[in-house]
Amino acid sequence: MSWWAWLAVVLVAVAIIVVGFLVVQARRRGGGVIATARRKSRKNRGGPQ
Amino acid sequence: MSVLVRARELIGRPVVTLDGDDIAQVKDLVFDNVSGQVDGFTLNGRGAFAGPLPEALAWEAVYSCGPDAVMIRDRHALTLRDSVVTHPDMSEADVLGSRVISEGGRDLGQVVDVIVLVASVADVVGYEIESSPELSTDRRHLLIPLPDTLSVSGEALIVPEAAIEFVSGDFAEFGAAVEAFRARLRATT
Amino acid sequence: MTLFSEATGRPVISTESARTVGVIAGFIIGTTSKRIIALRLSKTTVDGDTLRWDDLTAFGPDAVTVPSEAIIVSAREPASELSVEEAEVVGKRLLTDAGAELGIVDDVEFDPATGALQHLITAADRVAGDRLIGCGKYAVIVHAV
Repeated sequence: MSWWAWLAVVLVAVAIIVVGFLVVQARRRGGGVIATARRKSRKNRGGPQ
Repeated sequence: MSVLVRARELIGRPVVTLDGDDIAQVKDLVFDNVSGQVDGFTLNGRGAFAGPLPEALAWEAVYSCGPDAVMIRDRHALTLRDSVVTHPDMSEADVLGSRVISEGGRDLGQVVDVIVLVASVADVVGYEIESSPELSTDRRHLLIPLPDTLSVSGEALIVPEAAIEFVSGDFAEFGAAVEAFRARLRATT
Repeated sequence: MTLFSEATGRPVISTESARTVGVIAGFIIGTTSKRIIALRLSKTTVDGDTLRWDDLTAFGPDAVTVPSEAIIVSAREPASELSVEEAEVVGKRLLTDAGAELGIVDDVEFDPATGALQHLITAADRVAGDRLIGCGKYAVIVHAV
């Protein structure tokens, strides 16, 4: 293959790795609003100002 | 002093000690599926390469919650994740994207945000929904108030029929809508 | 009152040798005492880069005087309480203990006789120095009004 073709392959591979990393990171770090059931009952303790 | 906040605005907010170090950022907001009370936050590390942290921040340990940062006294304010979030097999669910259904069986829309009343105790008081055509023809996003006791499962969120009357398009007036709705519930029970 | 911006670049002169032994490059503040606790120096004639406030003779309008160049120490000495990165204020975001940002610290006004911080100055605001709570990697923390 010519020099250009190899370069194109490498760039595409790098692009796939970068996009893959970004997608995985977004999933790991993704936040939501979670409704959870308390294991034990807790009294209303005071919090911030 | 209490203030209404959108939960999704809290996600990603830096957690900063009074010493001025940003030791984490907010990942999830966790609330009790019956009382609506906010238990606390799960955390991510700071920086693009960081992942979720084993630590969490209970609401009682929050020093203050402001528009640009969640303040804590120091690193000792963090606890283990398990003390804030119970295990997955106990009906834990991300309510963003869930359907909101009235007690009368009407599909009101899909949750795009959760409205929290922030004070010394923080409470989930409403949902911001992308309204279904049944609920509204013109306004896309509406705010719907919630009672003191919630009905939340992994599948759907149920609201009393009367909540539909108090649906609001205006965030500034939503606090009053919540009060009026809860007063109505107390009057009719 | 003097500003950090005015004092940066001021020479440090040894009264023993009458020579310039360094130039002011930065300011290290103490968050409990709310004053300058040390000066960061550049172009020093000795190995160190830090001048403790308590070691200087006088902070004058044109020069800082010191008894001799020997009192210039290195901030990287073991057991040094002078953590440079966390104690530099200018350029850092200003955040209240209520979690609201007030801007970036552009300059600081201080009393040259004592080193006490008078005001933290942003583009929009002057925050009294006694409101200082802490200074870290991310922000300078002050009491909300």
